[in-house]
Amino acid sequence: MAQMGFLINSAACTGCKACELACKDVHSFDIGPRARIVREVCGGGWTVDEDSGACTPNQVFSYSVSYSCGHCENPACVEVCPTGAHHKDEETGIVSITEDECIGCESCVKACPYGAPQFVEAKNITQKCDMCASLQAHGEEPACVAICPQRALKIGDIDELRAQYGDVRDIQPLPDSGQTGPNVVIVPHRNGKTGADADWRMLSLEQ
Amino acid sequence: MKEDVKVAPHGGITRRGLLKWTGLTALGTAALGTTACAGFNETDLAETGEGAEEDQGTWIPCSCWADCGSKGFNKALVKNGEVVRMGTDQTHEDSPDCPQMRACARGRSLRGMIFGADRIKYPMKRKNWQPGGGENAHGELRGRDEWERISWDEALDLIAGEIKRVLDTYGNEGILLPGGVPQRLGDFDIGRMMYLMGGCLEQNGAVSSGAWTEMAKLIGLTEDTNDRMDLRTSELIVLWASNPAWSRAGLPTYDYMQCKEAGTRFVSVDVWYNATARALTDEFIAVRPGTDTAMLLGMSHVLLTQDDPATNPLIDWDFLDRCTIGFDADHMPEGADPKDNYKDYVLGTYDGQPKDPAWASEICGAPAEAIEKLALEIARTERCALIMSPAPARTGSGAQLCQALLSFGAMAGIIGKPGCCAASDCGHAWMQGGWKQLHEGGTYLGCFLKDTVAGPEYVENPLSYKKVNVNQMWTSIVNEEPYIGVDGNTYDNPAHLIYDRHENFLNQGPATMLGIEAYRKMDTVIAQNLVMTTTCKYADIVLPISSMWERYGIFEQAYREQLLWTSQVVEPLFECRSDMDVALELADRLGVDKKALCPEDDPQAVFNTVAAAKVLNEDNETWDNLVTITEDDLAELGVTGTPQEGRVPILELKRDGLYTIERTPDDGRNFVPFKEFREDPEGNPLNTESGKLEIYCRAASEKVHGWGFAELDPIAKYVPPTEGYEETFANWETKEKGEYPFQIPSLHILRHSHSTFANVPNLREAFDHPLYMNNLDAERLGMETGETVLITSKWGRCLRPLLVTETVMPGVLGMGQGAWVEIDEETGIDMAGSMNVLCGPNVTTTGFQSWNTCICKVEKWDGEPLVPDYLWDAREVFEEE
Repeated sequence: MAQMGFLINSAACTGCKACELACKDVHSFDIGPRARIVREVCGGGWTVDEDSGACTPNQVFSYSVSYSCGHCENPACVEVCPTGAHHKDEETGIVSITEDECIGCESCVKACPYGAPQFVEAKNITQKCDMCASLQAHGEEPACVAICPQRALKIGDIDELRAQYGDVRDIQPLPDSGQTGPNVVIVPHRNGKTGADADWRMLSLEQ
Repeated sequence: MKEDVKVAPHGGITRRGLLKWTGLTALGTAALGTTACAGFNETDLAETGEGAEEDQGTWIPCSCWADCGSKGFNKALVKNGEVVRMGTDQTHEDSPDCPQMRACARGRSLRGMIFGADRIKYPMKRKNWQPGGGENAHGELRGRDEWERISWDEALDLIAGEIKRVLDTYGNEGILLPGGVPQRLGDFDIGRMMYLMGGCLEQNGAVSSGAWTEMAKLIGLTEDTNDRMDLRTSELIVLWASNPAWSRAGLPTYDYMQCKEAGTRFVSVDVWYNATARALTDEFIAVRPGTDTAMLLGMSHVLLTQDDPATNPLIDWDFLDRCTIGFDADHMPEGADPKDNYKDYVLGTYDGQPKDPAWASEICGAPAEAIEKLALEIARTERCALIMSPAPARTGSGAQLCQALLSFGAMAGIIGKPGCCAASDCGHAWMQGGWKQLHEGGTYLGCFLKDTVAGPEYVENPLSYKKVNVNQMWTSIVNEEPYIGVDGNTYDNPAHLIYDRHENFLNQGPATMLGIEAYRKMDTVIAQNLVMTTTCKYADIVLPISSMWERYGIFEQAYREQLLWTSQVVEPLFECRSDMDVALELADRLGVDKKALCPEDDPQAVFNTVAAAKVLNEDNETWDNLVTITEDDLAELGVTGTPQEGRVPILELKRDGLYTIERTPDDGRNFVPFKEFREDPEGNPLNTESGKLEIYCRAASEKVHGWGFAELDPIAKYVPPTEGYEETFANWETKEKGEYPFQIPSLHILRHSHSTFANVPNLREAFDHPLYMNNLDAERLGMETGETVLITSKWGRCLRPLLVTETVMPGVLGMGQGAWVEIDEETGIDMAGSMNVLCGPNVTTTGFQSWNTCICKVEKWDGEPLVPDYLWDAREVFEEE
């Protein structure tokens, strides 16, 4: 079996967060851990006519990116895990945690540039996206994929996804993919920003 | 200020408690059998708990009853008596033509509401309240008193005693049931009991549709859009103040995506660049709240002045001539002054003010060039749909807006043709697109209504003509002013007892601060609910009510193509009982005929509607029964009925929970409103006075005059609304800003549906609830994202964290509506950011509520900054015993 990955269609995403709450639900998470987060950005500007007060939007935009775990080529979480609880499956490339072996040291939480591993206080362990392995084992799609009203999330053989949807792995506000090599394909929004000098801001209280 | 922030370690009801109180019902087990639904094998990512026996688990289709305006399919996986996770529609393969009815973030968070720590667990009474009215009621302590746990019998005796006393002393009008505001659950029980006792006061005018409720039937433009398949043939779709990604979570935006896929161009006209625009829009035009009529008038002016039937045809003269009245002097109804026509008003023939794009621009804020460009693009596009949400009709100029949309739409010739419409997309997605042509049956929001097929006989409120207008509800009590009833007569408001059944009207009606004063004047306030909403917080007696997951189930319509049957998931939690149980107990004490109150128990009532449901056959003429019923099925369900043949076995439908009508683009079911009317207006007259679409509507003008709230011209004129853009200025001519320089509309947000779900921590955490402010305004005021700001209107004050964004237009703010009021008793400031603290009870033409015309100021807050509300304590009054 080949490396599995996520398709993240930011062009179709409205930022409704059904995926984020479905992820919460399958993990029975209370507030705190968020194994999938939808991040929203915005930008552009306005010209206000001094006489008439008319407002002209100049390239005003917003877009959203849903992200859980990239099941990376070089997963930082696996590298730093002191007990070997973090592992990358040889067949599917899915990165997951053996909960019995997790000591809750949070090394992985600090190491992952994407913030994928989530410390779960109630259990004193870290949990993360495993592409809903147990649901998949029973023929179901991951919860985030199955609920997406825009059909903007998919999983699949990463090579096939890349052949169909291209090879974009970077979009703001995600960190540089060069660090860990996430197995994701992003369909960039038409206003998607990349690079350090792009002009945008977070459309959320968390900046 | 919530200073002691405590996060419940695991929030919610304990596992021990869950096992004690929940569990699959006997009927559920029997009727569902052991087969899991839709080819699923059961999976469980949650713990099964110590000593629990292995349970394969059972999927149960479960209700999401919030009045969000849309619908999703939810199911709960019950394992060892506990709901371990949820799922959504997988009853069939997903495709654009036949999409699965997937749930939204709120539906998926239902567990957080149903099993949250703040479920009301026991009946309770406010400590310093005594029955009998007067000073002993200590009304001034409502919202700040302590609670005492009481027994059901004590609670019911107290309530029945007070109802009887108030009825005897003040008449039926002494009892107020503020209905009609979303979060409806139980409209058919306490209300019905009161109707059987001679009636009660109710509320009127707080509706999703705003002015459309009255105006649609008078001017003839119904709230209806084309079928989703038909819209795929549109070349241009203008979404006007329409953000279905937020206000119709679920299929509507996905359906628009199929239009985009098919090549449709999208333009968004709104106060901000919204979440739907993000996915769909090619162009964005900003318009100020409450000024949409001015913009449509400006667009009409463009067509009138540039049209040349020979060289530049822009106006559909043929349609105007055959299908409308009042456009020009030659098409006026008998008796009307020919000068009062729409065309001459737009041109400024008699008032000297052409309503040209420059005039419109100064009001609505869209540049004149953008107004002209949009008008020309719509008029020159063969297939164009101009689809509005009802939001612009929920402004002080809402009635004029309905007229303006009709007038411009008729001129542009986009009514009654495939791929075309000029329409409000209605308060509820499932009532669009001619759903009655595809199926018959199902309740509305899970409630029986007058026209529910095979529903119980409807009982009218004998006092419905005296319903209190939403904008006069609190002023009529606090100021002891007369109010205008639905019949146009003037009445005093003698309410002494308020009985709130889930509406949360104190939170969801305008002017909450006045409402709190009104509440404190009452003898008695009763509230029943799942959770401690604002109305519960300010009540004297609070009853714990079971959620729809704890009841038999409901059968309802979803979108045009789905019928939904949800079932009981768990036994009632704690001491919770259903609304009907409460009504029956009170009926016992008050001598009301229980058989008339509840003619059938839930299984029989639901069965009746399922058995009567019909689905259109492929021939598009004949109808099939939805379900097949056998004698065995009747025995299994424990109901009486007649065996019949239908599309699906009844127990299979109950197990799967969802029936979906298959669609294809060429199935001949492409409903287009007004198609027959356009083809033959004489043969298919509308229900208006003239039988035509009324650009000049004498009936509307006269009806509004009859009420006396305000006056309405027979044609669409721009009238600056109360608390509109104009009122943000101290001096309009010099453009000097006034005390309240900002406009602030009430946004429908995904965090909650009106006020339902507003207590769920996971949703609070996922969705910010900020004050949105444009970057230019924030720079001018020296404000930054994250800081706490004080928002002040004429009606109240609240605090919110600020979110600076380019997506909202300058001068306009945005804030979600529905947050549960949290008044700081020392300062009187609402800490929760509840829009109705800011919104005023401003009277409007047809008596609807004008939530989207509200003005305010924003100041820096030098007090304690707000703690994120997902960290606030739950409103848990009594812990589990």
